[in-house]
Amino acid sequence: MNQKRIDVRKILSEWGIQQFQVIDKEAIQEITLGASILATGGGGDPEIGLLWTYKVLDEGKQIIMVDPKDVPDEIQTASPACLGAALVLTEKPPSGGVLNLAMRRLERYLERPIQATIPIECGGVNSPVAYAAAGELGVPVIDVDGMNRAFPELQMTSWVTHGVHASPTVSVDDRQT
Amino acid sequence: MTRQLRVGFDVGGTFTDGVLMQDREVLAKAKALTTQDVTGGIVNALDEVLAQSKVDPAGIAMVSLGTTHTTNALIERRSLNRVGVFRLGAPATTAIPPLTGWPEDLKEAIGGHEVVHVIRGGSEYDGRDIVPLDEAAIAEACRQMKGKVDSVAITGVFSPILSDHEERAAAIVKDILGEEVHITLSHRIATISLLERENSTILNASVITVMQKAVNSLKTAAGERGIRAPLFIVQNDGSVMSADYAVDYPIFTVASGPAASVRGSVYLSGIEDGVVVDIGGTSTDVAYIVKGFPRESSITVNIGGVKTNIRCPDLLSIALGGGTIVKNQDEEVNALGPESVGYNLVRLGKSFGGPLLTVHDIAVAKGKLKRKLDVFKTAFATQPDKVKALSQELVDNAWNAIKTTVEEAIDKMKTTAEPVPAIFIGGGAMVVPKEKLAGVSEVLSPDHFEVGGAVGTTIAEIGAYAEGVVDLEQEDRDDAIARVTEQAKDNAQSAGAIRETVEVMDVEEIPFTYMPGKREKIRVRVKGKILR
Repeated sequence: MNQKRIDVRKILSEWGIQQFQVIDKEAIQEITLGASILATGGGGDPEIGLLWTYKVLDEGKQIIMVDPKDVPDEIQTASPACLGAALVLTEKPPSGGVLNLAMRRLERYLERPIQATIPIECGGVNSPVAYAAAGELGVPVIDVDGMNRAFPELQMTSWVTHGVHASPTVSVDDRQT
Repeated sequence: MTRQLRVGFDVGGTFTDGVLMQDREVLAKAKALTTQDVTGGIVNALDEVLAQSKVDPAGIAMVSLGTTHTTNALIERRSLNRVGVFRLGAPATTAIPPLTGWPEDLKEAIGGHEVVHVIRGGSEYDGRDIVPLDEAAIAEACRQMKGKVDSVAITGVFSPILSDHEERAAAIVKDILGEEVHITLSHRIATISLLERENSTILNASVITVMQKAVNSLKTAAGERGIRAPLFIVQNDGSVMSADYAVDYPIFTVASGPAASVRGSVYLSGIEDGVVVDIGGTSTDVAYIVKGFPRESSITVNIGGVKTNIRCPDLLSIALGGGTIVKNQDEEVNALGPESVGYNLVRLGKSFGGPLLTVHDIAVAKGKLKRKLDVFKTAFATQPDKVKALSQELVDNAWNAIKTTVEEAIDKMKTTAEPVPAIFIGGGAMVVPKEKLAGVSEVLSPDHFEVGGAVGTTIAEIGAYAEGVVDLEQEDRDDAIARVTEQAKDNAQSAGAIRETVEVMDVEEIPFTYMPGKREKIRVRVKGKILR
């Protein structure tokens, strides 16, 4: 976790981005409210992702959202998310280190750094989780998502219908294994 | 129903109501001003009903109350315990530490972050350890918090399924901090959903002393007056629990008052399904009754700015009461409230010669207030001459605005398109429209409606519940439900019910999604009688 990260503002200036949105507690509240509606009854409790994001903000980390049109085509992105039964997540929220660990494992496999996160779901717990992860990693979060709703299985995104598969995938658990 | 005498109290924002009941008969009723310490108002109401009825206090079989002691303490951040917080769940759960999202002033009032510890331990959904419980870390934390806490809250991951880690942690805490530090275990407070259950558990731990003092002073006051009956407190679902049980679980009384009103409405009207509209001086609570009990809220319940998952009635509170100020411009009504003149109605209301137009004055102008309630000592009398100067158009507009407000509130709480019966109770029940209300089949204002909450506390039924997670591939469904039902009956008994009278109210089954096997959560609610 003490791996040195590039400052998110530095990434923005490298990409020549001047227009971006700083996500504060109020903004993440609104995003979470939207995620509750677009979850359409599934997707896990967005409150978990909201509180997770609060914790990241309380630690003084910055969360920056950027427009997809401003992001260079060649950069590496990833979609951090929680997987499993929604009921279990509300009783056993994740370990604080899991997102960082998963991203680092993915970077090691890809042999290149992750430079932005993308919310895989626009609905349910995983919408705010991508914001928490971006803050923890020190990278921007891109204002797009996989299906405009919450969904139950990884292949159900518009990316898959265009040939971009959910592979490689890294999964870690609370024991950080 | 028993012939034995019962005394009941309902603490409201303005008045504390008291009644003395025998069977279904109200032998005496009183309204005393609610005092800052709450207890004083109750004692005044008690003295009043004893003086009115002249019964032998020794013949009273039970004393019960719907109270706001805990709610007031939490909202005002007053007299709260300093709480040592243990969560058993690391390395899981650390993404969201305890007290995340709490208001800063409340965090400070209960001792702050210094005495918060996330310990390695807790269970998986299937009962395995996440990791073995770190008992040495608990002992070390206890030594650090010695002298800094009055009370301890312990919350283990999946403790509603397996409470083992919480029990072991409690033994260590007791060993090091001693008997005088009260311990609250989360699996006795609420159900699955760690953060809300943890919040509920910490809040419970913070109001132990508040409830202890309230119960002790009421017991002393009753004893001094020759009453030897046990004391009961109304809990959030409208049933009661013994006062000694309430001392350990004060958080179950945060909706005590409104729940008592609902039960009183059912009792007085005989209506078991419909809507209850409880109108006070400042606000109106609307609740929905199902099989004689308030419908439970299905979303998280906010207490003092903290999200919890304790069982609470689904309540809609609107700023409409007898003292609510009617804001107008000529004949047009701009708004009803939210300000209320409250108890100052007799000084400020137009019908009493005051400067402000209130809901009460509109009712007077409409000729709806035919009589003064005996129970009010103050002169809430009809003085229509004082409001004659009001234009009829303004009066009609205001009356219609009040009607619409009531209709909308009822509609928000209804889950059926059919018209439903509505029970109007509370001291303000006389001042709102009751004729031709949209969505309402009939409006009832039963006798003694003005002390309906106090009557509701005397019904003498204890409610309890239990829940468990079962795998239907391993266990027969009927056996599993029977097992959880027995647990619920045990819980009712330990709360003060006579075991043979305990009956099942409802059985709820929630299947676990995305999970192999046929796992589900079973929840059984029961109720039983206190008196034979």
